[in-house]
Amino acid sequence: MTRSTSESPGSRSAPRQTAQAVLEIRDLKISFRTYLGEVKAVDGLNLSVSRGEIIGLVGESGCGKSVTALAIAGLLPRNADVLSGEILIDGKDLRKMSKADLRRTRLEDLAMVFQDPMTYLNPVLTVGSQITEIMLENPALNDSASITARLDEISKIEAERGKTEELGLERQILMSAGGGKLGKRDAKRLARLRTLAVLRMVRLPYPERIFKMFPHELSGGMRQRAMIAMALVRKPKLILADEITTALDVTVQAQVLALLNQLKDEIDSSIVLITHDLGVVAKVCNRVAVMYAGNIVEVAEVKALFRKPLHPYTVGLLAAIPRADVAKSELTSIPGSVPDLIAPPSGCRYHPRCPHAFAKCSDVKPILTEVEPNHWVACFLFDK
Amino acid sequence: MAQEETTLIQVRELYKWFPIKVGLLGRKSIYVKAVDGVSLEIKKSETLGIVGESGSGKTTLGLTLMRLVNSTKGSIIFGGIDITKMKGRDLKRLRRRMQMVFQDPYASLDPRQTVRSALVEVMKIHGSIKDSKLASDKAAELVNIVGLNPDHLARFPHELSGGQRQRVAIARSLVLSPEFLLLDEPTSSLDVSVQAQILNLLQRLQTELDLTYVLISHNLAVVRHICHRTAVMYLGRIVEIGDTSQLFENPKHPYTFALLSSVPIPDPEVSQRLDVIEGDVPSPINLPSGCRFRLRCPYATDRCAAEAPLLREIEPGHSIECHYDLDLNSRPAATGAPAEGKVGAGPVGSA
Repeated sequence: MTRSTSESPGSRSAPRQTAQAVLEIRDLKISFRTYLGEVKAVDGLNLSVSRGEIIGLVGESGCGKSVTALAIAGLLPRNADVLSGEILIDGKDLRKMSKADLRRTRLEDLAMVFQDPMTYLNPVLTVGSQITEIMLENPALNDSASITARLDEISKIEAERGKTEELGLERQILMSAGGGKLGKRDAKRLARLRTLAVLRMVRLPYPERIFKMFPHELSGGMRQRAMIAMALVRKPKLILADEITTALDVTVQAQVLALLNQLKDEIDSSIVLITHDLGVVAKVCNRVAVMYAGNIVEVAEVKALFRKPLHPYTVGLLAAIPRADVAKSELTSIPGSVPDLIAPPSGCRYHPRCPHAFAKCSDVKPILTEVEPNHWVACFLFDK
Repeated sequence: MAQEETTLIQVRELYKWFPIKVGLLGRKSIYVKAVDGVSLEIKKSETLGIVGESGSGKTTLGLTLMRLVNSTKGSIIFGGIDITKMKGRDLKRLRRRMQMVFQDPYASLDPRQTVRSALVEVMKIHGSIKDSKLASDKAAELVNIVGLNPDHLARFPHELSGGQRQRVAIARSLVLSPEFLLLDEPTSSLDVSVQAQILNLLQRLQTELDLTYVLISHNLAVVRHICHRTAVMYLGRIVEIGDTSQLFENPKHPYTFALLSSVPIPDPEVSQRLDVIEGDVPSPINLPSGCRFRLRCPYATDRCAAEAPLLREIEPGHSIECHYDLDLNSRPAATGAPAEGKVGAGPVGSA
């Protein structure tokens, strides 16, 4: 079941303002200044993410998938330059925002989950204090509009699913604001309550105990769940998940993937799942964008992409993965290796490795075109 | 004896415990039981895959086999000779027959050495070819075998891509014409498109040079693709070993089953229940009593806590370390959980 209808990945024919798109990237170009030269890491990327969907961004190392995520989050290192393009979150261009607005957007609308939770969790603070801190920093938690909104929401949930002790307690705290702001102590109590709820949401056992634990006391899988909880707690519009299961063992990865699948129906956030593992994409994503050497070469619904990959690179990638579930007699490998982005190939960056390349491919850069409904590909083979 | 002809390496009750000093003044030792009683046989010209999660002891087992780490107890017989306690010149001579390819070719190649000198150095150390002209020719022949061209001989590692570096590492392991190669995660640091090239290369070399491989990997798809037999390790012991197709299609140990079910299948139309087991691998310091998998096993009984199972053969060439004969493919994986939508490791039909 796909929860969202996909909009165009924001190319020429895309309407200027897609009401639904949570994230819209237009013609993004990023390069890195290095002592060897300029690395053209992202070269004119277009992507749109609609509300509630999980979109996979797949590609090999160096294809620009993480750089794209860092650009969205505004976390690019100093030697990176965004040369052109727009990054719109809910229609607002991040690049044109003031520092204060950018901070607010990041706090309210955007969350990021990284590959290695041990590096991103603060080792000297308890899990609980790290998560409550986010909420206490967020002014939206404690303004009268959001308090009223949450009170309405609680009444609605209670009407639908019945009363619970937790909801009652939350209402009681919220009511104590009395139309204005919450006191410091009440804000803390509320943050704690919501933190416990979100720890429960990511299926961490004994949330009260985990709340008081330090990151080193948790296993790898539990830490990653804590990171996910941290992302979920502010109910962001967009979660950027960068290789979140890569550092985990396969049985633990499976648990985290199952969690994502369960969360899909519980949250409204859109997720951009960055991974190099097509198996992960197949199991949790609605749509998928395949990247190669700084470009998106194909965007499609997950089923369509696996059933009928169009871009020669996608075809090659799918043929090259060995499978654990069925015996493959031979692996078809893609000749050569990923190009050096200091001097990327002209035209289509895949042409030196492509079995179907012809003269035009080395001269002109193909752009993403919708060749089948919701199936976009950047390749001259599909020119009509 | 017929068996002697086909067995290249025989491992008997191998243990490797790493002591950790604890307590005041470090007087007390506790042990990380990385390899805790492994017996196996590696047949000539086969590829044996060793799979397991991190901390299962697969790399330590490999290093102990190679005599890069000394075992605590047990014996390793290589080509009929006990090499467990071998030393000095004998050990050096043994090294010619067994070589290793490491995971990270960025780390295993000297950044200040050209490809040619990396290859020639091996010949010098072992005195296999003394004439420098011949040595250089041999190096050229080797790069050719691994699919590089002679231009690459003068290059430094930083001038090569990851795949090319791994090819150099493979070429270096072949300098002394070994019979046996230990491949420790040889493709883990490579991209999928390049991984396929290296796997194809390894398969070709095996037939051309009649090599025996042990492949250590956490990537089950890779193991299924190139290994003839597979051993599954869990907390220092082999819990299941058998022919690859047998083991992948009809796993008999609950851990193997869980491991195989956990691999996300790159096909959205195969419905799959991913979270078949809970929890993480426990620490190899405080092992549970009895069967070490019992705390995560959905079928565990009192007997599992009381008595450690021993590896037993359930069909020719297929052994498990479990008290029971479970029919895993037709039973729900977790007790009480519906079997609906669950795809085991068995032959998976696309919907």
